[in-house]
Amino acid sequence: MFIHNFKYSLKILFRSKSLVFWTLAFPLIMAVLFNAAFSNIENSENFEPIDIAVVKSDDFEKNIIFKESLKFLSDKSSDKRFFDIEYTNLEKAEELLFDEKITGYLVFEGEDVSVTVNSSGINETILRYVSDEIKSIGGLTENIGKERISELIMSGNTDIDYERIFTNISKDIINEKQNIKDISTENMSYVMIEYYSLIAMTCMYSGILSMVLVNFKSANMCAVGKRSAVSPVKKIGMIMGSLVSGYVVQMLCILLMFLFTIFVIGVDYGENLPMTVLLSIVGSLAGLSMGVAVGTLVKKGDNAKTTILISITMAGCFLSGMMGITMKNIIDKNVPFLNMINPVAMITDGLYALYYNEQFNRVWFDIISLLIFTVVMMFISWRGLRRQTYDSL
Amino acid sequence: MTVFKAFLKVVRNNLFMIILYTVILVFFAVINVSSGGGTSGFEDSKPAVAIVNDDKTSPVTKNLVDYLEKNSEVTDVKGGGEALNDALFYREISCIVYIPKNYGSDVLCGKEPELKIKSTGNYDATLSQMILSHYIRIQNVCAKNTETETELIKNINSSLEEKTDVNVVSNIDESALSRASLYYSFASYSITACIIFIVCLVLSSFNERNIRKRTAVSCMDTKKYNMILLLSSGIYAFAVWLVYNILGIFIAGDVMFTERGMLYILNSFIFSISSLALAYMLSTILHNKNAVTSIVNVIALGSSFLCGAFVSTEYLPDWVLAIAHILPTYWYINTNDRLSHIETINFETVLPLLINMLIILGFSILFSIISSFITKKKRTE
Repeated sequence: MFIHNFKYSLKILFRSKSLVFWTLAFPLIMAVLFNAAFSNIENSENFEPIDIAVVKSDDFEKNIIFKESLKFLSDKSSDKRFFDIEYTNLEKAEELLFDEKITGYLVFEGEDVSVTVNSSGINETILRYVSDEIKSIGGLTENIGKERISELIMSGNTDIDYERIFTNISKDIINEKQNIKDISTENMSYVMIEYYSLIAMTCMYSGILSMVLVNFKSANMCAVGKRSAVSPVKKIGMIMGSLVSGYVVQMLCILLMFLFTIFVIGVDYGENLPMTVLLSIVGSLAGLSMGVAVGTLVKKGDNAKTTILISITMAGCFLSGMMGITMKNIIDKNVPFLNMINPVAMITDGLYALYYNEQFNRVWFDIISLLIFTVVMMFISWRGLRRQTYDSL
Repeated sequence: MTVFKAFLKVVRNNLFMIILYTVILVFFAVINVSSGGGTSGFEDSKPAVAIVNDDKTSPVTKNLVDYLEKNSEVTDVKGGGEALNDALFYREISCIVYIPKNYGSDVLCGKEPELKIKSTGNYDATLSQMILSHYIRIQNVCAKNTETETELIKNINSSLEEKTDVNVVSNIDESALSRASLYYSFASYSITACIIFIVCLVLSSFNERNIRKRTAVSCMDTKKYNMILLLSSGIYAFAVWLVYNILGIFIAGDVMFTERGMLYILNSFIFSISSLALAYMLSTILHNKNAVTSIVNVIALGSSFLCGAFVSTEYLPDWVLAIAHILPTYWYINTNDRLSHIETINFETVLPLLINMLIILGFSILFSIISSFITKKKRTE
């Protein structure tokens, strides 16, 4: 009987167009859309030299520190290039700013410098900071230079090359090394969270498969269910046969999802692919159990059950960062309980821990949480399913 | 009236989905557009930074921390190292600065002790690293030329006082306009989903074989029947547009009562018309009510991802934007983006926006022609 149920459940699942869409086609479509929308977002996030203009004038030519510093900061062979500079007149600089071709321009008047920008923003602040820094270097050069010159005069030295002293000091300050070591991890791609929530969503959609199969075995849902209810067959055998077929179909969907994202989209799941697959297998089990629970406990029509299940899944995806990756962090910080009972967040969190820090303890914690969720859902469903009797149907 | 009542019944039965799309829109709006009010002068951007300080007692270290607090948004992340790493990954902070033990005394000895940082590598992180390296450079130079701790701190702070004057030339309140643009661009998802979902459901119900046959043999004039159906759909689309614009006024504020605001409203109205025409076209193709949810999700999410409703168009690759040109959502979002940047409203600046709106109307006409062509073909079959 197990084999019989298994075989016919497979047929039911493969023949339903809407099931094929939600469990297989929809995640693949979402993967394509994610790739389209996010493929460039992290490149745009990386710092690129800022376009600025410098208004040429005699005052600028005299300001050696600014002139040399800007030359250094716009050196195309340097990895510390901050700016792409256009040296031009005021009219042209204004025109460039109006057309938003530059972030801002520098104007020199006497020893003073001013920055003109369109509005406040990150690039504008960076331009302002660089200008402040060069001014600070100028101030320091002047102070240290004065001290050195007075020392030389005090020591009786009369042959003093003032320009050389100031140039050397400013060069020393500009070349002053800052002992700052960047220990950031390489795995900082937050777009991966989008793909993780997509995997989690695919896992949870296994609930639709199990819900449809439970409906087929429920006497209050369809004629097949009525016939099954009056047949002299143990309900547990029937349901298990159906659920195993649902799980097999789900594994196929997960396999296709991985193949598609790895070979077509080009997602790199890192070295921990086996653990990622393990999390997906356990996550699918959690999704399957949630579908059984909704199918058993909700006493409404097929459409209402589907809407409830998809709504719960989508809400779970939303809270785990599918429609904005910061959401998961916001919930984890402010309402941690919500993500502790959210199976989508458990899967996403496990995948994130694997990717970012290889925190295996956290991964195992998430796997155990998913298994507990599965057991709880199955227990609730078992309580709801056992000894169901109907006075009339 | 019978037709209109049937329409309302379908709307009532699917109110849950309409509320869901609206709640998603409001949630998005509140999270993304609540920050900041308009400012007339220049305001420094302050990147969010976390500091792990193992040298709390030293005045030299305290001066560094004070400087970072003044120039960046120092965030207190509770929960230790793992929570800090999470905050960095999710861009809650752009940089973590680790200050080692005895940092202050080592600076005084001229040792130039090492500071470790972790950063996201984005623009905010570049700015925070620039703030830090600016301080360290000044600190190193001052440490070489001073003897005492008090003198060192005094010299550092006096050198850091140098500030450049910043002139802001634009008069537009970019903060309020970006709020309006973000809201209206995201609203394209909710408008498309709500209108297509309900109109397709209603029309596919009325197009069911038995119902169509019953209507055909009834005494109701076909022209009148079609007109009521069109009118009901129009009233529903108008109601959706109205509700989202009222929400828009709450979210974007006073800017909605300006000429610019009127253009946002007009643009969304024309976009609603194109969504209605698209819904009509789809209803002539779709026969299965179950397929409506799938189609709505694919069209609403697809056009939103491809045209810049969820991710700003400046981050989308060129090939995606090239494809997006064939969708009305692209022209709608393009108008919203342009509206937030144009300096003054006059015929010259508004003309490109009007052309965009005409293109959207062109799409509406195209959808209507296709749907009437399909309907005619079906009738003759």
